[in-house]
Amino acid sequence: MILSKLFLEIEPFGIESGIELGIVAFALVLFALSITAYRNTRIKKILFAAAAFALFAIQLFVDSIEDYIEFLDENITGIIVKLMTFAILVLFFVAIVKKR
Amino acid sequence: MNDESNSNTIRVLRHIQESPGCHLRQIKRELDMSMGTIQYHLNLLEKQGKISSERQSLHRHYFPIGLFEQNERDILKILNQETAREILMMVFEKKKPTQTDIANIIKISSASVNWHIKRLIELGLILEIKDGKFKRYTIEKDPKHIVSLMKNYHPNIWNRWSNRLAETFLSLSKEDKEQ
Repeated sequence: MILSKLFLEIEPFGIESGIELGIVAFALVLFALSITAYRNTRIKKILFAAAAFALFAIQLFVDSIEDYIEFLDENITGIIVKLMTFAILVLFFVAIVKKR
Repeated sequence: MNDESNSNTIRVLRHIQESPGCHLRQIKRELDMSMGTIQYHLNLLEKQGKISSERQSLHRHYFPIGLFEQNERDILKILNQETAREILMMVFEKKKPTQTDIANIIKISSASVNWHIKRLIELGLILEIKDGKFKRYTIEKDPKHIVSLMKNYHPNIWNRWSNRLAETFLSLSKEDKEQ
């Protein structure tokens, strides 16, 4: 009984963290793939996409550690995370519209 | 060095000249020599400046020096790219295709074909021929060597994926369609 209660309390945390970790890992894989693509082709617009993937990983990292460590005011971290989302979209936009 | 060792060095060198891009296990299989002996001759040939090598994922590939002049490494980089290989194969198979032919058959954007064609011309792998209002492409180097290189040296999964990512961005580029 106690064990199942404990399991119910722990499980959502475990799954959520696992998914978050998976997203960060996937964003880093995409970042590394973009860097390889840039090194092979020297197409500068790929660098913008690489920066967007890296920023996405950083954003998720900041977002997840914010729950455990209070290093900044909640409102400020909220603004930072939203600005990062905006920057990610801007980087993808530049990657699409920029000439090679 | 005795005569037997000398003749083995020549055998290894000839094999690399006939099959550029081959790796240690392939040489062992073809020449039926021990791994240690082949490694010794490969080191010797590299020291003598007769061959060069390039590591890619699990294998080290060997190339005769001077086959593609100074741009050997750039050619290897190109052969690491799935689309560039497909274009090269297409130019081999379909004699003198236009950019539109290539784009239609490989099913990639004309901007992407144009970009790859430019690089292949810069490296001296293919040649552009004017045919009325069309531009056609043909192989410039010895096809036997390029086919052998392509057979022995192919992109790993990581390079294939990164190439597809680059293709996505290339296809987003607006560029005038060329004939």
